[in-house]
Amino acid sequence: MEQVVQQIVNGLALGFIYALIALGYSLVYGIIRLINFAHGDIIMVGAYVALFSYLILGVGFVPALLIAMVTCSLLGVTIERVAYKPLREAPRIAALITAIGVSFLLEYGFQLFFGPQQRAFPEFFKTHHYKLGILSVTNEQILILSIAVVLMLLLNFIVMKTKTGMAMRAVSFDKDAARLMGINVDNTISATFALGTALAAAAGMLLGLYYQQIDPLMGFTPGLKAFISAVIGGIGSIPGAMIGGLVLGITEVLVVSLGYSTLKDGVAFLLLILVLLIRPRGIFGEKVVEKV
Amino acid sequence: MKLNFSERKGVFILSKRLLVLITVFALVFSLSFAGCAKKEGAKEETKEPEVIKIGVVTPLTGDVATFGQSTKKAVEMAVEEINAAGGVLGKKIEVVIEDDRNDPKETANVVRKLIDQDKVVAIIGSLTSKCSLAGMPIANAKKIPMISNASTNPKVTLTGPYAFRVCFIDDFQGQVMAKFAYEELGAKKAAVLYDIGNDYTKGLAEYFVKSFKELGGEIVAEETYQQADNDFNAQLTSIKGKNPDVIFLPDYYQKVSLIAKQARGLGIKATFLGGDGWDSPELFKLGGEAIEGGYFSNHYSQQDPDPKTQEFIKKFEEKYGEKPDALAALGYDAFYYLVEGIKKAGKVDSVAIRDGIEAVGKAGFSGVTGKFTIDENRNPIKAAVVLKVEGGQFKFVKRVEP
Amino acid sequence: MIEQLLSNFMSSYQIQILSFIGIFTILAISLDIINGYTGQFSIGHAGFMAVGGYVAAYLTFYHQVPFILATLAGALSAAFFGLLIGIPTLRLRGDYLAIATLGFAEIIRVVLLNLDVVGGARGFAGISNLSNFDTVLIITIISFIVLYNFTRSAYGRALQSIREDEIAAECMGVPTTYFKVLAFVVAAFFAGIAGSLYGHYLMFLHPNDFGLLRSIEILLMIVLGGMGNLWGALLGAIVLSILPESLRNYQGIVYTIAVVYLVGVAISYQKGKQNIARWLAGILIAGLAVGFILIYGKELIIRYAGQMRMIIYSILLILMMIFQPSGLIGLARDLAKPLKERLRGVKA
Repeated sequence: MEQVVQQIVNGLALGFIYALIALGYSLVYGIIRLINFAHGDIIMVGAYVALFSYLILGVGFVPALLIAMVTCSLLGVTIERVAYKPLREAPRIAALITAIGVSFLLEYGFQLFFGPQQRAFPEFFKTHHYKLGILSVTNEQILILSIAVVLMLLLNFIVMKTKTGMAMRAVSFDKDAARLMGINVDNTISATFALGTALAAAAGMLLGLYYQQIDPLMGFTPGLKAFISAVIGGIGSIPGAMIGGLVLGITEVLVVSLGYSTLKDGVAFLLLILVLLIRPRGIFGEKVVEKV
Repeated sequence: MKLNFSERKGVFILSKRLLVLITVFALVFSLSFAGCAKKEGAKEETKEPEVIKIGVVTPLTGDVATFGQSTKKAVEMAVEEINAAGGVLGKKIEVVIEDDRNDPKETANVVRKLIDQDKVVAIIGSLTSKCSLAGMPIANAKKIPMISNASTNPKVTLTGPYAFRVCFIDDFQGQVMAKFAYEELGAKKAAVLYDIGNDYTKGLAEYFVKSFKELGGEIVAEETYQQADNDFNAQLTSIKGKNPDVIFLPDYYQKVSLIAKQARGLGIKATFLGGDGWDSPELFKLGGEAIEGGYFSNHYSQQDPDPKTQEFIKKFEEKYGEKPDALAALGYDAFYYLVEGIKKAGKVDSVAIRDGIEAVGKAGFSGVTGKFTIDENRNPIKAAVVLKVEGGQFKFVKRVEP
Repeated sequence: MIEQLLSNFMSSYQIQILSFIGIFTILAISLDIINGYTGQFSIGHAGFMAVGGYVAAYLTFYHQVPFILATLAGALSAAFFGLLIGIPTLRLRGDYLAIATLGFAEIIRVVLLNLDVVGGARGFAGISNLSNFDTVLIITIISFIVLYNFTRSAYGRALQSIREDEIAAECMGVPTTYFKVLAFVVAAFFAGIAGSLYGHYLMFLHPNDFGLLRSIEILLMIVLGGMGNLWGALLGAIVLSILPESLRNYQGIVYTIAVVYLVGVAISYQKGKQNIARWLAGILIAGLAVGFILIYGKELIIRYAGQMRMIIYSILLILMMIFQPSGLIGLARDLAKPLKERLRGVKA
């Protein structure tokens, strides 16, 4: 019993990181209907930017986080303008392939320039273990949880209460109608990318903190898992992404603790397929009426 | 309907378009074989070649690129030394180094290229067992000796008489550590945690488990993960519940340091054990304090007083500004093993060289990773050393003879 | 037979490359049935290849089943997995389907890693060498003809109608579900054949070689060649099998630059954006690149070519999608169109 509870605590930290990435996926997918495969690699870029700003500028945790978020949102907007915008009217497959291309470009570009080896991630804090009754919790886990929650609340505020957020919702609902209402669709899409990639960068930094080492291929798996979380929770929904991330994180940890660690990824995909078959719109997703 | 803007431009444009089209396709096809063209003058085989050409196939890119790179460095250093000393049999050595991305299909291509196009007389490589298993059948069919520096799967040398290696095989390393843990550390309960998708870590883990049980120990947990995993908290939490004395982590240093940190984070106090994959200066950087006090088996110790070993380490550091890892040492040995074989053969002929290598191996070869003789399957029988991670250094603990 | 004939003027290295071209042609044309013709999106083709390869190798290794029968059994098992994966397509569309196929392929890979009877993580070694250039060539030609006719048959038209507009197709009485599953089954069948050829050619199989990278490699072939066209898939398989090998040396790199340059010129030409200044600028850049290679030469190439390869691939992928989504074959067709029209005009 004690072990199961401990496992769930471990799963929570992982789940919150998934949730953070899933939010970015969900935002981008909601607005241009594109699985941004490169989203996972933005995580990696974010972690590297944080590492280098620590090594070169010697900054602390919060400035490194902010630098990573800003740099990555610029990168995200650039990627959107250069690679995805020309394909907005093209078949979906074309855009998806381009996204795979961008993902590879980031991964192998970083391998070429920064080497394929793992790098130690700076310990911004000394790890402490807190005993909460039978449980052991680290300050890193608490930090991950709190940063994730703060960012999610912030995102919810932006999307729900600001003008840009309203524009985003309008564009994702109906691009043409939004344009007719005087919304600058291009800028809104760019803003969405900026937000989504900033979240990914934060997630990258948290992952670096959690694992204490980073490498150019670190983003792919969490990226994929996050997409699955987003789908499970219902794409386009903020609470959905969060719940999806947590569900996946905890499921994975439980599968491993039952002794089936090799089947972990299989279970994740199985969960995805099941959700898609039973409730294609996900837990919180809105029903989409197909237009002819 | 798509408008065709060029229609009105008429005949001139048309022929120019056609020209472009034809050139493109002609070039695509000439490209087909530009890279793979037969070399001129390759037919004169009767004459003894001026230089001795040796091929190297190793992963310079991809997931195990760092090991391929150190193999390459060691081989290049060996070639420089030999050529500076006048070469072998009065001839200079020329190496052709090719990348196989750790993809067996590419290894097959490279081995054929080295043999057919570059006309090498012997090949060093490949690094991982899966690549060697794809490349060595070809080398055997073509009667070209091939020496792997790091393929530990027992099946590798069973591909035929032309397949050699300089490393010990998985079985042995697993046994060494099981014995060390049971007898020297007095461990009774052991746990293993390994990468299910990697033949090297899986092989080591299996033989560790087998030997440890045979000795009378108890394996309390056998957990696995996959290459892409970075989070081992779940596995480690299960292991923690079983309270083992030692945990065997037979992976490369990157994963080991990650696992060690997370294990210490969960408050696991057990001693970590590992294999030669631990051997890298990066281990301290990535693992920090978590890895302190761990033991692992290796091919050689950098503190080995043998002058040959010390000279190799010194030279390597001077040339590349870094300490050689085990793969570099093995690559260096593989090359010298081959050179001794050529000397023994007395002529540059691949069949004679094979016999030469076997003769050298039977008689005993002594390299920077120690002395070895080969068994009937051309597997080296060599001692392993057990090292302890202590204060940012690998301390020599014990030499284990087979 | 043909292999002996070729070996008079080709090295076994070249013949081996030709064999891999054949195997990858089968993979590319079968993936084209799903992605190109039916408009579904699969990035798990390597999974089918793995099933075919392992089943066939298991049969020839343990039960000495004749190669042809083993291949057929491998292909049928792959087709069965195609059916399994095809069924979720009842509910899944586009991107979701892509992720699901990826997931299925991953599950297959993980299961194989845990199957010790076929070597597990150590790989399946000791497979007999039962396929050679001749068998690959013959089976490739047969596969091409069969699939070519399939795409031109009523079935093929039905698939294409789904690609163009699924709802409209349904309204016209096309049982879309049936045809979507059929596309998966047929494609998986041929991928299974290719897997068997691959295993018996290489004499070794390893589960990790059927991961996402392999699937993407196949996908790249049909994208580069041109989706929805079997000739394009063939062209893509040829180019992408030769390219990595020719990037191994100098001469090859110079040629590659020249070819990429010419293709670029052809694309801009076809788009009506060509003029003398651009020609010259292009020649200048290509010349500089070639000159750079000649000057800094071998060392640089050896150091970076391998690492550059994947980067070149990915840039190619993005540029192709943005500027030439119909692939090389589409480009060739557009360029040849005026010629065809002229010939027809002369005849009339």
